[in-house]
Amino acid sequence: MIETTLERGVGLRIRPWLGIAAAASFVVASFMALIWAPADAVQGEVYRIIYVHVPSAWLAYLAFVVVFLASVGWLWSRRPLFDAIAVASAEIGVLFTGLALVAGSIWAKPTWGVWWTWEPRLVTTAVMFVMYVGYLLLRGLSTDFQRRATRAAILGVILVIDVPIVHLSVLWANSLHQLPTVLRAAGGPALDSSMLLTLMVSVAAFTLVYAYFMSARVAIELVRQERLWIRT
Amino acid sequence: MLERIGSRRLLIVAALATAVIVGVFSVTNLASSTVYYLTPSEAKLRTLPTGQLVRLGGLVKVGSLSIRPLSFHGPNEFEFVITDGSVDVRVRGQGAIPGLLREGAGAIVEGSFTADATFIATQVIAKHDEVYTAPTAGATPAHRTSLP
Amino acid sequence: MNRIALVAARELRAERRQPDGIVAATTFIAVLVLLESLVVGPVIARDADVAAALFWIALAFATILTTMRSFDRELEDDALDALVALPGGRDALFGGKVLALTAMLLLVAAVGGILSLVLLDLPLALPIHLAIVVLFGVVALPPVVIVDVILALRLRARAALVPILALPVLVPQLVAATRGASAALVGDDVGALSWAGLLFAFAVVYAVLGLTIVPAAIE
Repeated sequence: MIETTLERGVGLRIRPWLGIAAAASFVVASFMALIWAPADAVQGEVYRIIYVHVPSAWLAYLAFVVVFLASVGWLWSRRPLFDAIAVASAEIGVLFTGLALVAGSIWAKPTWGVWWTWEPRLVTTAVMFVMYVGYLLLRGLSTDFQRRATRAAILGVILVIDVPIVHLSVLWANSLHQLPTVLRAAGGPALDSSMLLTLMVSVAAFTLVYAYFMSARVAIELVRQERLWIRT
Repeated sequence: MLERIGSRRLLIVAALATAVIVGVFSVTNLASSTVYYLTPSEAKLRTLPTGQLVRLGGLVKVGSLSIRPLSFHGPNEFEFVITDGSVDVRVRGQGAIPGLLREGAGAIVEGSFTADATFIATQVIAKHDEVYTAPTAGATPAHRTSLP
Repeated sequence: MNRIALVAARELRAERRQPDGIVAATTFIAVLVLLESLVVGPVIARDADVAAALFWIALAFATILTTMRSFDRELEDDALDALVALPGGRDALFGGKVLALTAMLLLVAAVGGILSLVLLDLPLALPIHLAIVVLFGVVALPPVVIVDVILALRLRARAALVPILALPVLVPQLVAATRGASAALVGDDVGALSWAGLLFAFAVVYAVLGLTIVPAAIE
């Protein structure tokens, strides 16, 4: 009980500031992405979707790695907070995986010429989406708190294997998706400094949104844990 | 008891090691058959039967791209040469052209070979790289979607 | 090791006394093979890739079917709790189930495979290579499915949940098995053996993962 009050108290004090920071950085990122950054020499204005697509994909990775860490935390210590973090992060991760897929699809049509094609990066990302939808389903169908948390944690550990596969899938010979622009194997980021700065600000803005969503969703989950299951 | 746990761990490590070795060996053998597309050289090497649906990827040869609109706002008739530096393949087809298709850049075509070794494309996909730069003064971006 | 063999023997004895799992799975595959030719037409159905893909998708579902049936039987008999309570029972449960289900599915795959070959009149270039691919393909499926069935144990909607959990994880195995079988049908010996090797690697990795993780998953 004391633990919960403490957790919720810290959450309550930080959350409004997180919200303000997320909203403000979002306004700045939107301005930079839509007006301040130059058009691309080859793609023209269409390339600006990168400022939504890449941060969404980054958040998907981040969220699922957090699910993995929280799952290990639960299996290790059985602290309910870890379970709350895992479910919150999984839900946000599914949301942003979907957003990355949709934004990527909208970007692909005018540039590649197709909405979708069976290419390694696209397929592994879609598989990752379905896997974590399954994770949420498993949680939704379970009825006992301890069992639900343990089963979900085991699945959370297994599923994280797909995250590096998605990221490295573009390195397989003969794929269509472009290689990572910022985290390149050789040399520095392959984009203009103003574009790089805009991308960095966008990623920061999305990460703040993630942190804000997390603080809110974890707080809801802690209340639910208390209402539905008597916590020790 | 300790001995038994030790031998079991050894068994697991040995099994994993075998799996990794066999897996790596298999993947290196398979590297050429799991591809999203073939290069013109690979396609020539395999002597694909006419009519078999394949994807072919490479660069659009400079000076080979011609696009003829069949009607205003309608589909285009296109023809270009796709190359990997050593083997050239003539590609023909009708339909939509992606905005980023241009000479000297990457493209992937879906379709099949005819008897005279021409490739009839049912779909053209443009491939672009991970490099983004601001346009130089006065230059128009190559992307064509905004034009009629 | 002894306990694993015991669990496996018990499972097979139960199945021989009342072979509903094997019968259901074999009928399922046979019906799908018959339907395939009717639905896509005889020309497409005889394509090595199409026939192999359908066979393996059917076998993946058959694996899910038999595994769920096997665990349901344990629950009906209240045998699972007794098994878990035994010393070393949790480890043996996973290993024994993998062995027993693999043996059962090999039978199902053999019947289904021969039916496919005969009914679709498939050209078979390398029979021994095909047998090797089918062997390792069958071995690669149960470890993943058993882990997912255990995660969904006792849940009301498990019939819907297990395929959703298992199939995305099985995508690489199904691709490998399909390509391998197709390679054996058309006569690509190096391709068939390489895919079989990859399937073997998958089987070992998931079996080891299951052995380490399943004891924690059973309450």
